[in-house]
Amino acid sequence: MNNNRQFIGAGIIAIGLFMFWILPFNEYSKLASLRTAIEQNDNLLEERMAIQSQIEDYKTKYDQQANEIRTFVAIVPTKRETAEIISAVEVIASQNGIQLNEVVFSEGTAQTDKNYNTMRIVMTGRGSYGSIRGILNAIERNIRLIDVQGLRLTSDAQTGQLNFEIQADVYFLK
Amino acid sequence: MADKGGIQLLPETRKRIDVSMPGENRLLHIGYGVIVAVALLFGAAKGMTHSLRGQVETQNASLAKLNQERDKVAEEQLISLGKQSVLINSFLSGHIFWSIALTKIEKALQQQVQFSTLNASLDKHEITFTAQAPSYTIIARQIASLVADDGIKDVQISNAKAVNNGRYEFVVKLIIDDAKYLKP
Repeated sequence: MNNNRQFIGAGIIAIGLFMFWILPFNEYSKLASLRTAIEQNDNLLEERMAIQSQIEDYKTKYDQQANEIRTFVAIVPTKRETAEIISAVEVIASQNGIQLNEVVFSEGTAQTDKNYNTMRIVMTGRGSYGSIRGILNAIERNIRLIDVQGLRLTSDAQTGQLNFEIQADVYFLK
Repeated sequence: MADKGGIQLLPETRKRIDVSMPGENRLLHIGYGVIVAVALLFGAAKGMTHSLRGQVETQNASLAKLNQERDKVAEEQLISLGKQSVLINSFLSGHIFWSIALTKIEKALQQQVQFSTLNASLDKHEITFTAQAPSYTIIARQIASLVADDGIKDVQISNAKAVNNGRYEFVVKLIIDDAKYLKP
């Protein structure tokens, strides 16, 4: 009889230990991963909130300096903005008394390692030396950055004027 | 105890005699103790898991809310601005002015020299022009005055000949230093 009690007791202990293995032990394992998740989420939240507040700061500054930034971003815009270039070139030409015959746009060579695109503009026309120097000067000082890559001048003996071809590059973001 | 005619008989019911030994229930008690402890531990762990799960859900909700509150248009603008500022700095520092080069050539030009063509190329770093002068001496002076500019690395004259109008035509190629000749 006494032996039976001891067997039953040993059995209960064994069952208890087995239950410990499948119930609390499993739960405690989950606790460890939950704690890790909480810690990671905490860090993530903290980081995101810091970024968010920094973005808010930048946004406020951006809004405060919108006019200056508008001018600044016009130097190298995010898009081609071909229409703006055409109108700028037309204004520059008429201000300098240049007869602009043709403006040709073409895509520059794709450069995969650069984070900008290039567009080539070729302008041809006629004018006096002074007016050609004037248009060149105005193009080079235009708000949108225009890099003159090549220049060709030939004198026309009959009219006494110069024919010109200006090759230039403009840039925009990828 | 039954008494039949003065004879006493043995009791009809037998009484079981249990002899209790000290410590015989120890394992049983330990077993109960283990079960209770396991139950308590399980309950506590379950409670903590529940509470931590709640925390994770709250955090996830906060992250989702933060994500919803993002002004993606403004973020895009700021990213573009960042890229632009890096680009613009490098572009502006490398920006060149051919109008400055023309002014320099004008200053170096001899009075009686007249240009008929001029080709300038940034890729080749060169300016080639065809001009006419009244004499070879003026051509020589013209070349000397161009060489004097430290923005011109080399002056190559490829051809000089007399033309029908009694003047001398010559072709010159200037190899330029972009940083010195095309910048203010």
